[in-house]
Amino acid sequence: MRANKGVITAPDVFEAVFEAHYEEIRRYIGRRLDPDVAEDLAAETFLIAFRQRERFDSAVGGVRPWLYGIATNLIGRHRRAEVRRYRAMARTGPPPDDEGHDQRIVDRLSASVTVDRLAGALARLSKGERDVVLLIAYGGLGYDEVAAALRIASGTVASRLSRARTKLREVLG
Amino acid sequence: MNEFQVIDSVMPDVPPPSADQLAAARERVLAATQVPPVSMARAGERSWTGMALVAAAVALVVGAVVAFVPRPVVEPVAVTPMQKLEAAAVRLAATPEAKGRYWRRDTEHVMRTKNGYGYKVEERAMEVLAFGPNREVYGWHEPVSSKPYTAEGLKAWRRDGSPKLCPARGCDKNMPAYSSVDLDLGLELADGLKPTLTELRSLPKDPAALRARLLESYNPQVAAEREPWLEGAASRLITSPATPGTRAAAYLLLANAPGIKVVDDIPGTFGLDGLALQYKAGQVVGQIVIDRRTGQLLGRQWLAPEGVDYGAEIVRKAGWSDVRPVPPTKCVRCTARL
Repeated sequence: MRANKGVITAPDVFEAVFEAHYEEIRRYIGRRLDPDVAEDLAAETFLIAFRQRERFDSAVGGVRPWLYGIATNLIGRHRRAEVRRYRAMARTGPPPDDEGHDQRIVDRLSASVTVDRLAGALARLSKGERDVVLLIAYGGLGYDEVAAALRIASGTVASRLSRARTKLREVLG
Repeated sequence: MNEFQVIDSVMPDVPPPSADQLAAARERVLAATQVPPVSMARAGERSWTGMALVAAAVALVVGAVVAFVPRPVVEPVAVTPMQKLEAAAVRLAATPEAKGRYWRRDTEHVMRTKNGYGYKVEERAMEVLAFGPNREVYGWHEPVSSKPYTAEGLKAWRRDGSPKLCPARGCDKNMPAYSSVDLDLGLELADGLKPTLTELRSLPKDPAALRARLLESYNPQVAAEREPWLEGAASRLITSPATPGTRAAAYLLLANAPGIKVVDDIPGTFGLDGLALQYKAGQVVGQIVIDRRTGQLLGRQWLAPEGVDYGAEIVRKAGWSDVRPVPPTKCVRCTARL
């Protein structure tokens, strides 16, 4: 959802932004880092967003890309932890699935892709490539939204994706 | 399944936050938003712990000197109707939709009129519009009641011998309901713009992108003026089976259209209470009323030049389900194909 420059100034408007997007931002962070730090960093994302609300510019993109951009910057501060997590998964497989959801297991099998191999491939991506891939995969952002979130050109998104696809090809087929 | 969907489905997910976790996060974030902090924009660099320590220190100092200095004046943060609409639109866009094969909208039409009588009458009718999975469309208009609505009107009606007022249920036994105008329009949003249900559902959720997409269908040979054409399309969109995100974008498109303003103080004769997108159509003022909390469309109402609301369309329900709509008996041409 877009808003004009500077319109996210009133607390109740910001509250609506929090209610609408907190859970998805927390989920995005939790999937990239660790569920234990997701609460803290998701809250930090919104605190930063509120402090920087005067800088929000709808001409650059909507509220979602803006929040995902802030969250991605925070994740960047924990880049080593993220890569360590993928490498650990590559060695040991995924952590226990708290949901225990049968459908997810079916999905995983049907995809014919194992978590350990995919985690290993994600660990081999550069930070920029991983940001682009996971903003699309986890956040469901479009290419233009990724460009707005990361404040990079659409062409840069495309070239990072191209490189990432090449690196992921042996896993994803 | 594309490569991104594979990553999404294969990589471990995160369980949703508990109610306590969510409440704690909400409290932590929203507490910070109560401080007028624009001049502290650089605080984004600080950690939360640092902020808390600074805040605690400030609180101690303020507590120590509060008896000696006047209270600082905290300027109230202005919340304009437009900002409220923005917030409502964000909420609507984030609203999950029910699943189902049929989309149906039930609207109650209310009109206060003298009609053919010498006294004021309030007419009520129900109008249904629905779309099905095989391009079928259902639409009918069913008169419900006609009643005098002022004390003077009631007296005049009684003086007249309390006749049965029509249109109302039972007035026309051969045609208790008839095909609605919207049935013929189907999914048409404006001249030259008639998307399929799939196309409608995939319209952009961003106001600028939505505007651009709609204008791709604008043809000056068909419609003389571009902005009124666009407003017409957007105003049809908000009552259509478009996604919540697209409908929210259409609100903002309308709110920024020439001649439309957002107001937060509307007459509530017909029970419509919310923000309104207000426009003028000749002498009449129209108001598209939106729930402040959920962003859902509540309806429309029309005001006479003196500001009295005399007619309304109240959305009673709208959404998806698996229940196939059944037109009233003897309803002729109340179903069609898109």
